[in-house]
Amino acid sequence: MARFIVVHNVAVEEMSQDQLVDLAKQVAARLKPGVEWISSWYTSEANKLLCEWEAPDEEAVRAALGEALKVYPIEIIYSVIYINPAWYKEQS
Amino acid sequence: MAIQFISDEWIKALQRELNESETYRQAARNWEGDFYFYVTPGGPIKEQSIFYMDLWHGECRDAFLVTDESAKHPVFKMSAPLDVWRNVITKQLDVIQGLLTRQIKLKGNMAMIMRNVKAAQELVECCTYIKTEFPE
Repeated sequence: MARFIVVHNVAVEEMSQDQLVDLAKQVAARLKPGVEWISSWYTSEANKLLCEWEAPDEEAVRAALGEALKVYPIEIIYSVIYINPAWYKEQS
Repeated sequence: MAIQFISDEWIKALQRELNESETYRQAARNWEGDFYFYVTPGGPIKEQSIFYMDLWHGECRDAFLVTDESAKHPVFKMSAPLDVWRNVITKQLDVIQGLLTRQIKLKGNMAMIMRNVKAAQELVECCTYIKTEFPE
């Protein structure tokens, strides 16, 4: 399965806690088999959201995001290769 | 000597810690907004208690245990039961995680808090400097 890092702009100045949490729950509920929202990171310095996905292709990620794209429009999607530091740790 | 958590003495101790912290002052230099922090009933807490804090550009201008809720109309209201606040203050629960999971309920602009996450974290850091006695 391909991995993606999706960079979102945060398009709203104001948002309630309920709006934010409900939007995240909607995305989680829309996930189809083979599409996984792995993690998200928000950076206040750039006011951007960076999200890691596993999916067959970019379109599957966009489809899962649904209404969230209005609040968090996509700036760019990178297709990425996963690298785990644990692979390089010496076994004792 | 430990200070009882739900007391005017505790919130004023936090005010002192914030105003003495250069790290907080820097982190919150752009922050404008006052708070009610509600400790909701549950466990040993039979009645709701409220702390007020006026936070302005890295300074805590006022802080007290509220006796009349209508006295102020703060921009932000955060509420949670005692065990959640205890987990935040003892750094077992990140305050932002608490908000994103609604363990802490917020009325006000969540986006503004997210943009000032460092200020929120430094405020919690200052809480840890107070030797606190929690109700049992």
